Amino acid sequence: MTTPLGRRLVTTVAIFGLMAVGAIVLAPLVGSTSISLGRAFDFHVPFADNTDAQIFFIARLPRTLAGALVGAMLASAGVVLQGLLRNPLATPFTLGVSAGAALGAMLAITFGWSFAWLGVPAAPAASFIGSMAAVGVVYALARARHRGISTNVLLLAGVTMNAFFSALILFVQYFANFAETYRILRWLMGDLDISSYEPLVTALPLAVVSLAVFAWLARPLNLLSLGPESAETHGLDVTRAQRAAFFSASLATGAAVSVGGPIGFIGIIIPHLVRLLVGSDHRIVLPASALFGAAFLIACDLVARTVMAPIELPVGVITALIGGPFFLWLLVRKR
Amino acid sequence: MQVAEGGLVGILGPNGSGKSLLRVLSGTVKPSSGRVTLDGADLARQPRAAIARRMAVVPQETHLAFDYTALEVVLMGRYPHLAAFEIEGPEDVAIAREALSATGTLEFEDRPFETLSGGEKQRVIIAAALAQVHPRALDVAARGSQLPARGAQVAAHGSSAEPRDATCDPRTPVLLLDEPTAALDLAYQLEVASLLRALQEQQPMAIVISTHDLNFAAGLCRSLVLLKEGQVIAAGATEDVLTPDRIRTLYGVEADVHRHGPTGRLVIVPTGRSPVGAKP
Repeated sequence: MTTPLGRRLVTTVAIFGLMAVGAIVLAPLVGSTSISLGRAFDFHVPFADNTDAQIFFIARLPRTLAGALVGAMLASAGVVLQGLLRNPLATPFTLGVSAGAALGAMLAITFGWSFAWLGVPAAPAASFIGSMAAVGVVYALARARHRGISTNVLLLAGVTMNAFFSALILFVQYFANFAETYRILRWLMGDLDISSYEPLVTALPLAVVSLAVFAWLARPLNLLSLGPESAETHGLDVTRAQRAAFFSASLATGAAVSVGGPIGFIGIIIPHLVRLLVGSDHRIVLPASALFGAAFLIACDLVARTVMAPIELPVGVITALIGGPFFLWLLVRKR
Repeated sequence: MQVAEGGLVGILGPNGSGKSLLRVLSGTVKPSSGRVTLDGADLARQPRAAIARRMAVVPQETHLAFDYTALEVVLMGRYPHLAAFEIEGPEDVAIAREALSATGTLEFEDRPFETLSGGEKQRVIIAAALAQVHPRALDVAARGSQLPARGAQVAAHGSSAEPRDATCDPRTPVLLLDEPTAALDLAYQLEVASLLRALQEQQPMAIVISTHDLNFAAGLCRSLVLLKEGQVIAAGATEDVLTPDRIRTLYGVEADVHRHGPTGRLVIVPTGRSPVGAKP
């Protein structure tokens, strides 16, 4: 008999949580200057005199935490989009949702928008609106085709959306000056090279709200995998669940992209590996994916900044090198 | 049309008209006129979860987007009984396993649903429906409801008898099955029929089945509703309703209706298409 869900949940969260925490604590130790964990956390030495602590907390930890936040958001947004569209190949990146978010964030950055919307600063807010627009198109397409969205339509829609948003991104880039262009290009490849806590703090409200909605969505997503009509006869308010999924996945993607740019394939690699390990119950898959996604992206970023040191690669290159073949393998395997 | 405790009603009709009526009865499609009542209360005014606690639907086919085990699928039936963040407790698991054993599928509980055969899947889905309505449910009465697609009266003729309000136990479960035997082999059809009869004996339920299979309906259902273009052309006890005339009206097919000696059941033998003029 299957172990009761509560116990499975605790075990899974403990194991994947340990991975995530381990990654967050260990990743900042590696770099051009090697530092020691013991000294970084030695609070007897005043912070101003403790170079190890300074490197750990000021230079490297923000980037590691950015990896954790972006990885967790993209992986769980992938799970939610897959549940919403009932297709395991749906992800923020392949659907063009990341590109939509990137367009929004780029507009805000390029034109130096500085307004705040409901307390959320311009870049994450615009990024959220961009991802909403993209998810909206995909969702409308899925609803218009009643029987759900086939893999063919899904992939074609994604290709189209990506091409559409990429063209607009290039157009916006045209207005940026030279120095900005380089920065933007790097960011568009998916890059976690941040050196302050500020982008994290600004993206945090979106992340927190989306995680809260995800927690509620876990069980409805299980029912949705039976099909919308069966979910309804099981007592689920399908429209409400679909809207919540649509909204929260957009929030999460917006938060992630405003910090790290459109980093690809996290939303498909992680949920698949997690399902292989823990089964399909979304109440376990969602937290496990968020934690595993955090650990995975931190690890990818570690590789990105050390493999060709002193050159630091954008982490999007690493995730694409792993994720591209992985995605193709899934396509081939899926009858 | 009224379905009471212990009732096993078949809906026969061409071109998915039975499927449409089931959707109206389950409340997933709103009737364009008329109403569906459950224990005398209008279905449209009841919350989805409240309806789901008393009425379960077994769809023709179930394809899962992700791999769940049979037990997980059956536990999904407990959804309407749980609060927003509540997880299934030991009694829910016990109910689910009881339902699996009632449908003879307990041995598959840890198997991935998608690896089961069509017949096994259908039995697991019936188990999920049983788990869903477990603390016993009701009486459905659809009165003067109308098919949305065609817009004609469903119960106009059928309700010549005054619709009575619920007289049976309001906790009687309601099971709606949509073409449970379509695309499945003969052995499995017999299996479903005997399973439904056995379930009905264990615990009285109100069961409605939409089907295209005349012989399956004749062998299993105590009463039948014949639908054509959204119109009820006959409703009542199976023996009274299933006549060569009605079959001609329904399908445009000539058929002999015999009583099979050993079982006493009606057997329908189609003999050919009706002459064009005979098609109403």
